[in-house]
Amino acid sequence: MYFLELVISGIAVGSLYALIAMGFVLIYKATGVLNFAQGEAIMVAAFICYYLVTRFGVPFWLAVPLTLIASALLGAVTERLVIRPLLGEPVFSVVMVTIGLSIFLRSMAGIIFGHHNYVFPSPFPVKPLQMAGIVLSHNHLWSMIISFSLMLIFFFFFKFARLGLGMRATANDQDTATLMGINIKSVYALTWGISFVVAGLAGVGLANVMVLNVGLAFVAISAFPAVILGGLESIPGAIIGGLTIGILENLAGGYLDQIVGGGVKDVTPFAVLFLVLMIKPYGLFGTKEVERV
Amino acid sequence: MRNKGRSARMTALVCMAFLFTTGLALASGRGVTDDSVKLGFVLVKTGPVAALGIPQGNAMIDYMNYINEKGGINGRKIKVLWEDDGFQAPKSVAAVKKLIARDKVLTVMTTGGTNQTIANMKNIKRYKMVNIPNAMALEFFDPLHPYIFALGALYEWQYQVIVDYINDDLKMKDKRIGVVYTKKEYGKKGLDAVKKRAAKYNIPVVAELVLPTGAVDASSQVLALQHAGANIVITCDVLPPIISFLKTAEKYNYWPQVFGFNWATDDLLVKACGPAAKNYIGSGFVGSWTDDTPGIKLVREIAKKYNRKPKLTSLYIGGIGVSMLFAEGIKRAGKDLTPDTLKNALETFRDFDTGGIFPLVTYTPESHAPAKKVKLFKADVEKKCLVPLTGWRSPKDL
Repeated sequence: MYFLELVISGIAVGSLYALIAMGFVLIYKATGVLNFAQGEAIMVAAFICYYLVTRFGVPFWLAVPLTLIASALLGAVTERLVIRPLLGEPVFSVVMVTIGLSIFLRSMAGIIFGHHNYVFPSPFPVKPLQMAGIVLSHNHLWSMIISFSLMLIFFFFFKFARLGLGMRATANDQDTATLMGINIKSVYALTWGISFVVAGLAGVGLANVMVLNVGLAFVAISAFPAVILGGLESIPGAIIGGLTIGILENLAGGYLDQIVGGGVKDVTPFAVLFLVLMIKPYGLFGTKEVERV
Repeated sequence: MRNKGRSARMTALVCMAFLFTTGLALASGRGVTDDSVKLGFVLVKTGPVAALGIPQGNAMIDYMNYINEKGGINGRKIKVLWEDDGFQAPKSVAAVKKLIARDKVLTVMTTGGTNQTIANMKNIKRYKMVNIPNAMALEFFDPLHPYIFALGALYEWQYQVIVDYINDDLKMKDKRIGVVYTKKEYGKKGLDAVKKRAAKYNIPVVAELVLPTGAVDASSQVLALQHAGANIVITCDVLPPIISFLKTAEKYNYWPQVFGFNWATDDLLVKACGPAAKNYIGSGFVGSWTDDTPGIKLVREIAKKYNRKPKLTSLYIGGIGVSMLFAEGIKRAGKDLTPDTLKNALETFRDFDTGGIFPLVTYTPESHAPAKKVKLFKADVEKKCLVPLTGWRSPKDL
């Protein structure tokens, strides 16, 4: 029973990691850029939702879609002002800009929202769901439902939707995509918008289980091993990576922390990350790139 | 060649003489005029732990403004400069140098937390910076550092008082302690103190679990504690992870008696956790916001006057207390105010009464150690605050 409880709670946390990981993957899949400001997008969305609910009295179920709209706008504006001027520049330059963006957003959030600790007024019942002795909070249940729903939506979107195929084509080769008539500027703006929407969902989910402060942005680092494990350009990989890391963390915390003196739980994701990079550098579901010269 | 060697030696001597004289000059007439005293302090106000610095910094400034409105001290108005270190030791060192060399403050009242103060040890000595670090570490007063005055009961003492309480006062059968800690200095010190003290009472420590400050979830910790049968949980971590822990424990319907130390003993914990905090007891070396003591009444009056609504009330109270100690020191130093006369003045404190903000304060030329006293507070879920559970207590001599 103890093992099962650890696994279930690991899946619950893992679904939050999966949501964060999905945000990373979306941008990478479409633009080939690893966005280091993803954590800040999560944090800003959480603050927007918090302010809508607590300061403006907006009901939670209305505040969430409003937050997602704001997130999409933030993503699109970010792309237009920060990323688009770098179109055609080396990926390294764009990545460096995203690092700068993360610092900028974090500082601005500190100035606008303050550096205090806030507790999100969770709309979910405090009493968790209990099935055969297994406990699961409503918030975690919703995170799981949203993660799996998004996985399905994005799977079909990238496989069959014209726009999704355009995004994949753009990531593969910008020049060829342009020649094929794809408006890569729109694709980029849309990608950043969608990615920030996913970050918004993760932000609202995290704010319900954690204390909300500017430091929430750093949670993205915890999800990074999930991205690497699943493969940088695989949506199902992000989900499976997130869940795997969540479960491994919990099992390590539940069993090994006691034996080896504590702290194994936090090291486990990164140990997994190193192992994966050594054995499968492209992740479990990543695409192996072969260059012929 | 000989000439070269001689000129190098001469240059070195001139440089040393320059540094020596500037050091003395900086220390002697620094920051004081006939009608003003310039003070500085370094505390975090941006970054992930800014919430810990802002209420205390605001309080330190508010108290000095309050004093200025009452006419100042010995005819001098107090001007306070606040430098942000982002809770990073290198930035704290740079901020201290700026305050001393450019702003020419009389002293830097606090240089931040443990690491920042340790990084500034040489500056404290060189510039004779009378200061009260915003941390509780033995190395600040043992051995004696002439210009450092310790603030509150060491983490070790706080945990000793907690375990004493568990042994003597807590009505519970078959006591089994679980410890949740962070792998930072205060967390490890807390864990060691709990284990040593519990061993003296033969109370088993059945689980030791790490809970990092930015933890997303505390499920595995809660489940492991439940699995180990811990009916008492002692936490050695700051406020945000403890809030996560209590809320997670509530989710699993796990209700041990939970204890925490001063950085997790604040009304915010009860407001944030609601009923999840019902079994929480925390130690602290400042009074509670709702106390009716003269010092705490003054704190509330000052907060109202300057329109402050501190979220972390214990830190605001502590900030007022620190400024109060400096104000009293400046008053006792009289007209001839220098770092050394300020230090000497603080060393005349014998059971100085802050009106319930701190326990009685005593500093002597031989010891700048803090009072070995803490109060225990329990959560009052209905009032959404912490209320005193005990009076000032010291660890028992075992």
